[in-house]
Amino acid sequence: MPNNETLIIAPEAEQVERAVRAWLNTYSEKPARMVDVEYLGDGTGLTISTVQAAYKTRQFILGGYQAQYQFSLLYQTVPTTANERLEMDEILNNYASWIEATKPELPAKCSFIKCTRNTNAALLGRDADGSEVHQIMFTLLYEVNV
Amino acid sequence: MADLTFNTQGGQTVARELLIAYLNTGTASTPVWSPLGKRVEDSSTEFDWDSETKRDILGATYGTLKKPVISQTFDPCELDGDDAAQVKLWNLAVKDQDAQALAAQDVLIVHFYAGESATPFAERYPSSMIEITGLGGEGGGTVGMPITVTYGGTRATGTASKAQDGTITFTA
Repeated sequence: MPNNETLIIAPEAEQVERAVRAWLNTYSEKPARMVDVEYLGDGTGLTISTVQAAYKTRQFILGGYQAQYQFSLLYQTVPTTANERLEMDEILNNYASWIEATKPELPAKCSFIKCTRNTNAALLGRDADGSEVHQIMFTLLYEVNV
Repeated sequence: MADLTFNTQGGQTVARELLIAYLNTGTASTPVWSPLGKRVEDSSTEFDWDSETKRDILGATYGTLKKPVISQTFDPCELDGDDAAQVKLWNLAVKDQDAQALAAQDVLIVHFYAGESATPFAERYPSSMIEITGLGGEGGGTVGMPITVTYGGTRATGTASKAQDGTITFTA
């Protein structure tokens, strides 16, 4: 768990989160109209959720640093068959493949290194109304002033 | 040179990025100072004073020191096409294996925390030895090229200035 000394300053962390959301919203095969933040609503929805606020992983002697931002992509819908449940995971896994093959426009001074999935898509939870949330988790690595 | 003071806030420690070594990737007459240690997390100069001590017949201990041999390691120094210092050293060491050139590199150390903020203390070592001590890394990682610098030649002290675009100028 990063301490206060390694946490990224709030403005930068917020800018990175905004950049990630904007990036994910450029995917042409999203299963929902847009990717929201920390909100799914009712019915079908897509959102990103911060797993851990961005923090420094390496601090360099020339003053720059490397940082990582962990987030999950959640997809909610109301599947009625096993096939539809499997499709939810397939949709997220395809989304992840696109994420790993493209890159975001990060804030100035930030250089993108890579974004890789930490897990494959899987069921996160199910509500009483039958809606399910599946999620897939990512780690985005970037550098600042390097 | 008169004693210098630190230009940093009293009571606070000095940030590591205020002490930077630069390699001349230009020429002796028109130097271009490129920083050493990109993506290096920990590096320090080591001073070897060749110290000796003796105790005289009265029980007093005396010591002698010599001018220090100063060396510094930069590890892992991942290769990066934008790192002018690394590119130059790679060409000299890996491509050309030019031992004589590697033993006569022009290096500048700028102490941004010492002296005036705009023109801090700097020291130039025009005949420094730079050894490339490795090349490679672990699978799935990046290629690293750790280096060891032994600062040498006729040392010149002076000041350095840093322009808006980062260009360093040394004035003896």
